[in-house]
Amino acid sequence: MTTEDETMQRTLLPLAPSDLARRPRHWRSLDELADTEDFRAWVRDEYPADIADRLDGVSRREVLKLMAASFALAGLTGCSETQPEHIVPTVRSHGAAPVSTPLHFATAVTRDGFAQGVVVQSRAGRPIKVEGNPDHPASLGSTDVFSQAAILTLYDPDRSQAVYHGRDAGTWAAARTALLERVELARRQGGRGLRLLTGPTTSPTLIAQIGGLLKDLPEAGWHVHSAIDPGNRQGGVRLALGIAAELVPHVLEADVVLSLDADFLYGWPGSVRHARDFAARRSVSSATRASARMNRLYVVEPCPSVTGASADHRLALPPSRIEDVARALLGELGVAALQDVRPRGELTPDQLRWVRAAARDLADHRGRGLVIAGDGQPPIVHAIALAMNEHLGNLGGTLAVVEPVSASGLPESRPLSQLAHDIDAGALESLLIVDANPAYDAPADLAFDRALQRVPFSAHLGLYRDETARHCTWHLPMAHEFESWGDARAYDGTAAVLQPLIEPLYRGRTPIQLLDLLAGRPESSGLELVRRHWRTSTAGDFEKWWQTVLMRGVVPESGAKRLDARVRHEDVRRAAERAVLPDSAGSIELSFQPDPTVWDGSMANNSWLQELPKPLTKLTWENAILLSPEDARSLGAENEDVLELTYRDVSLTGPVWILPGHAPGCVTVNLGYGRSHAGSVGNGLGFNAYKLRRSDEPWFGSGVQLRRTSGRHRLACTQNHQLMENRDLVRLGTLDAFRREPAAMAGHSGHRIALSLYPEYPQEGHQWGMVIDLSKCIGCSACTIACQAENNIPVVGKAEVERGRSMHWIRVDRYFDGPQESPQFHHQPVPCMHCENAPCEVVCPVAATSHSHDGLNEMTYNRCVGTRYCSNNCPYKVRRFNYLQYVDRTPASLTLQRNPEVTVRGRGVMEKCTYCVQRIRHAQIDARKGNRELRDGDVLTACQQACPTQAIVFGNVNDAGSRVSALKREPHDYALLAELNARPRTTYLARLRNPNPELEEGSNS
Amino acid sequence: MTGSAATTHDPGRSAALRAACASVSDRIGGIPLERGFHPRWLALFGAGLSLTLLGLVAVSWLVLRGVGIWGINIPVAWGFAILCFVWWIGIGHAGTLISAILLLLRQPWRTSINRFAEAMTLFAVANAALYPLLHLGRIWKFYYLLPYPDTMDLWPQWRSPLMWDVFAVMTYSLVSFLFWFLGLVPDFATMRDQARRKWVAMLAGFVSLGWRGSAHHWNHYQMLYLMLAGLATPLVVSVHSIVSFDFAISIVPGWHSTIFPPFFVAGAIYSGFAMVLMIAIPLRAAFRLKDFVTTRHLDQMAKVMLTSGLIVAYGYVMETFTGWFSGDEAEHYLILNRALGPYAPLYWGMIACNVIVAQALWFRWVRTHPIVLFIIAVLINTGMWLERFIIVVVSLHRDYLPSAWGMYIPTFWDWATFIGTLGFFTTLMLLFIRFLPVITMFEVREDAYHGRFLPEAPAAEPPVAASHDEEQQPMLAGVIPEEQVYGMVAEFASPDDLIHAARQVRDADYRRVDGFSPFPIAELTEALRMRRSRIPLIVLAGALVGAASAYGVQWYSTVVDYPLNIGGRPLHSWPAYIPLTFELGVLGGALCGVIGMCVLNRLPQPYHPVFNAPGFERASRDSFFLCIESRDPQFDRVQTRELLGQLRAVSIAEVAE
Repeated sequence: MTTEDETMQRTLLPLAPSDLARRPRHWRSLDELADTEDFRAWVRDEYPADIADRLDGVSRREVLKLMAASFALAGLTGCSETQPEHIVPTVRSHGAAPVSTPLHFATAVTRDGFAQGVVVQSRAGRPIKVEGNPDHPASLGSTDVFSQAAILTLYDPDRSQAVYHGRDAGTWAAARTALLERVELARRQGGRGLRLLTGPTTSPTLIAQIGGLLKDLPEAGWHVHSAIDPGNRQGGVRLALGIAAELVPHVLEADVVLSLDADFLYGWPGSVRHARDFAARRSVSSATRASARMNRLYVVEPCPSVTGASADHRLALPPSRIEDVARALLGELGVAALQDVRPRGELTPDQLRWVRAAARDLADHRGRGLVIAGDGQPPIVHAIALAMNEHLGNLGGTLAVVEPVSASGLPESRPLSQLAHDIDAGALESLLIVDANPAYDAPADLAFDRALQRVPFSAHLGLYRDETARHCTWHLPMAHEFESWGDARAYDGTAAVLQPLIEPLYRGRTPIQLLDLLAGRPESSGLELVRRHWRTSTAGDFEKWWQTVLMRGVVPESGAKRLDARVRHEDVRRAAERAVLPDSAGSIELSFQPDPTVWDGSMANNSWLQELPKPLTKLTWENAILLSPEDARSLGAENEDVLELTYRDVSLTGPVWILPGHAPGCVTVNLGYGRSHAGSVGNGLGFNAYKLRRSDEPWFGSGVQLRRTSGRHRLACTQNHQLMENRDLVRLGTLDAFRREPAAMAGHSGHRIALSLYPEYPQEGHQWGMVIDLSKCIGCSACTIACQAENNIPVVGKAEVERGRSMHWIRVDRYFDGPQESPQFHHQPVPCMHCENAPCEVVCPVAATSHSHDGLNEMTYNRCVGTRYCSNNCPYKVRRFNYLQYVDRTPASLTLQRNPEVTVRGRGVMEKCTYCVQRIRHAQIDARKGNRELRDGDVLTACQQACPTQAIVFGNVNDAGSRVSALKREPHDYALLAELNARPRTTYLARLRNPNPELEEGSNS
Repeated sequence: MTGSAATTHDPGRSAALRAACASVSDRIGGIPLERGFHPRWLALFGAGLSLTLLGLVAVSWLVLRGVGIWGINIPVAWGFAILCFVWWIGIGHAGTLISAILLLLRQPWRTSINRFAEAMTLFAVANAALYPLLHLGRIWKFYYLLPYPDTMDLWPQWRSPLMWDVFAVMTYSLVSFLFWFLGLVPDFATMRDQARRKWVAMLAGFVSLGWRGSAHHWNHYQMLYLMLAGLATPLVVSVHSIVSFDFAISIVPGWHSTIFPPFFVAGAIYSGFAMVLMIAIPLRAAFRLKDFVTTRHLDQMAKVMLTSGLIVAYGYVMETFTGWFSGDEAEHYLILNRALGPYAPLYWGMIACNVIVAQALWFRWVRTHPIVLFIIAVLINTGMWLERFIIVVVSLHRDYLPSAWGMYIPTFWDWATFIGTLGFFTTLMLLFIRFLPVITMFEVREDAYHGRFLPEAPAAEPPVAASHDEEQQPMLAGVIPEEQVYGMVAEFASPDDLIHAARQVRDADYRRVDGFSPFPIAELTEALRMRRSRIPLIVLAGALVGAASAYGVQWYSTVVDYPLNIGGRPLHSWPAYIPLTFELGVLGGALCGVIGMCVLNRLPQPYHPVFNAPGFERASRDSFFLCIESRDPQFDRVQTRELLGQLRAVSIAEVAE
């Protein structure tokens, strides 16, 4: 073992008592006060020595806050049983880092079971910020809104903090005894009557554990439930290829991408990667414009999505009609074996023209095209897409077929519907639910909440005491991912090890610990379980391998194995024959979609996500019935009118939100709302669309009746006006036009207006600036939430958002352009522009906002008296005001998340984007310590770092060699509202599109 | 009518003048001295006080919670607090305008309305000055806007129009107060001399600074008054110009307009005169002052309103025109949005009130009909309030980026604060009407002297000569020992007699002579051969010191002490330093002038031997005195008495030190 390894190992070992003795004793005086042996033992258990260690030197307040939290816990849970564990490894091998130094740990965040590799910044033992892991294939250093917000869930005071037995508080010891009893009971019958229900998972350790359990108890069963069910895709793959497999698109290599209702740029397990790959092919510079191969995106979808909004050509159709487009495409491409597969219903001439153009484009780019179908589309569409990809030579190239990654794709896992059926049949004695909430998000026809009550023994391990927990015999608190050892695979199968950043705040257990318990072993640590699993599959020096894996956050060469598969055309043809247009065709269809922010509802208690404006609707805090302007007209409904929606004999009411570009003839409802036991943030918001969902038609169905009620319901929308009013805000151009005349896009105010009565203020040394490439921005809002996490931005709640007081420092403006039925969508992130002639500064009477020597428009919070004149005079309206005391001073746990380098603002103070000045100063100090100049790329702003498409570039504009300078020299670089001569430091690159010349110029239908 | 006839002796005319003077003093000065309260006054006062209390509740809630209790947001970060500030300060323009500009323009009709117009100004400005404090929410931070000594060497940011505002409003309220208070001083003397209750007399005596109505007093006083008027005239114009800079300096479409300063000043005069009418019309009815505030006054004020209203209407037209002519899409949109956007009803309401209704003032019948005029005044003030709403809110709610557009809907607390200030204003006005003379008595007396005013009702008291006859008490003089004699005081029945006597006494080479009159008499000053007052020099010096120190502080703080890059502007941003320099120049001049007047007149001086003269309490009412001091080398107890006896003195008495 090298010295470095030794020092690393050193941090994993318990602290020697002598270490403790050397530390200041101020906080330990409490146990001297209560000088009893029991109390001391309790404090020892509550305060693992390393927590004390990590808190050492932290203010007394911090310590007291933690103390208070734990004392509160003590009342709930009685005695503790955990043994102190010293488990926080560092990726940097400092022996003992001072608490002021931020440490970074590679781990992963999972959603729908799939991992996104992240690096978490930890301060004084508190994880405070999530960044992408550059080494992880699903991240490449970027993140999405969900990973960014995960840190808030960690500190959520509403998380389950105690074991519950029915309605009463229980203990882990009692729960363990009860569980082991049930397992023992089942074991005597070979496992009969025992079922395990997990959420979607890709964890190799967990899957192996379950495999072991099933081997041990062959009669037991394992069900996997996910509200965002990949069953259609898996079914399609099985239908077309005859095997269980996962599809991995390689968007970077694709010149032409056709999406059949697939929102692959947002929310998909690999969407951050896909967005990066997609955007890499969207950006063109004046130098590369002749040779650049910009990709072209065709999207058919019912409801505008992030992907649809980025499309060069978008066709809005009700969900059931997308299959017809797929069939028509198949015909146009001339797949010989499937030539008798025809559209089930007529397409209009316009639609046909669209299909023909797309088909020709795909055919022209053999091997460099990609057809992707969304999970909402039935298996046949996936099968047709696979057939097309094979026909076009894309299979194995731009679209890889690999071994199944997710548990739901494994043969041994069974769906939830079968579990519900078995409960009805009375076959169940014990049910263990791990990280799933079927009582809330199962299709309504399964009535799972009622079914659960018929199970004699049920236990639920979850982050929250949610709807399912309340129907179970036992509820066990689960540890958050940032408190857990574990592992998970990315969309392409690459595995990552999850490592904890903090002791479980609420003493939750991880799924693998629970499974280990079921196997009858004495409780072992998560670390041991993960290591045990990987030790078996690793050759060579395991310790060295382990350290590398932890440091990089990725298990090397663990990607899923590629499979060689052929499309079985006969099966596809037969399935296509069976698929007929539903009888009720022509009636209004209902489409279910996961919510862009709270997803399936599991993130409903995350206030950052709740307040994040949804990318296309800009709604916050709620869901709505989304419909097209035509349908709204025929219903006589306006925004915020309450509609009664009846589908298959179930009715619910919800407010209307008219979404231009939504396909007529269908309405979309977002899942994830209407929670009753999400927590104090998420309870009672919106309506529960799961109540309409059926297991036979989980994603869409027809025969919806809509009735306008007299009610109105106020929705909190952050952007009230959707049109650009013919102003030159988002500048547009096509690739062809850019090739012909690169400067055309910069518009009339592209040139610098130098006319001023005042002399030029000297701009010397480092001068910071930013460029946002609108060709790359897909409007995913990762920047907004990354900024919120980095800069301690408060959440204000629905009522305040309604009043127009949301606090986000970077907002993503979204404009509709063109006809209401088929508009173009433009996203424009707007942070503070850091104007050289800042209009805000001149009007401040107390010099609370002024300019720094390096070109930052700075806010001096403690000087601000709150005249709000600066905001009025800001033409970009990027300033945010604390109209009330927004920052929550309680509960203590939320304060732990805050970035210690950023002031927490009180009421009456103006705030705004600072270009992450704390990061700039940090980089400057580091450079000075290293006795070197600051290099381009040393400073990444939070928004820039999170951005999946790398649309944001930040740097020194005085350095001609910096990336930002190069972009600012581009002919299509322009300043927003340049005519005001505020000279913003943030500029934009005009949005370039690549429309098919065959289809009408500028039109996308 | 005036000077030339002064020396002629006309007993009928002097009796009439004395009657007029006495009538003024009784009817105006008598109101505050009355006992008890009229039930209607009490009812109104109770209502005003209740609304004030509502406002106090709103303010307390504001302090506890923050400005978030109002409807403001981003983009509309300014709401009621600013628009009501502008509205109130606009109303607060009429008083000083009437006092100063009309004085300079020699408009004699101002005299019977200037006092309560000034009071109205003060109370409106007090309300206005509250709003910037409330606007902050954290009102305890207001001192950051003042250039106080700070250990961090932090200074206010002088380029901000809000800074100019602070000093403009401060200067304006101080100068307006001085103006108002100075005008009250001779009237306080009247109240002191008429009061029947001792504590009232003492109180009035205290605030009258010991005013004796001496020719010296009047000499400096008149000069100071003229100087203050000269200073206040540009001040009045500057205050609303600076308030308009709050908007015009910005880059917000609808605010960024060069027409704003004159447009705002005209609007201020418009609403100010409307408010004067709203007070004058009920006031003259309630206190039967129709001979003081005549229909001619109403007519004149209505004409001023019509004129300023037409300027305002021109402003609306020009705003629309320049908006269109600018070719700027944000300006274009603003014009349409005002007329057709979500706040369009308010815009058309404003046009109806401020432009259409005002056209009725072309008709003389309307201008002289109090009730119709009152209704028009109310409508105009409503219209001006709407105008401020449109300027503040409608410009902000849809500016450059459509993505950031929003709506502003005032909350209960917005309204409660505004209504609270209305109540506060009413309360203060009622207190003023009840406890202070609502009309400047000495100026009305002066008008009567110049034959410009004839009261309808004569004074209740008998003629002055009968009340006490000094001739019957000659022994009184002998009581005073020689060395204690301060001087000899003679009473005269008319100003003409006094002027005549003064001239004679001066011709007899007496030098330490002073005349006393209930109103300033230019001829008396002349007859006593007084020097021109040196007040103008003092005012000039004060103004120069004020202006220089203002500019100096601005330069020092931004260039030397704490240089900061503010919006890329030069450190020495001299154009931005002008408003403050001007304001502090005015303030310095006014303060030095007032202090100078007090020093030159040796005020306050609660005791003076001349008060011992029998009947001297009428010197502030309807009688005229001449005093020859014993220090005068020519003074001789016998000869002086003889001389005075020849000069038609009604009575002669010696007064002790």
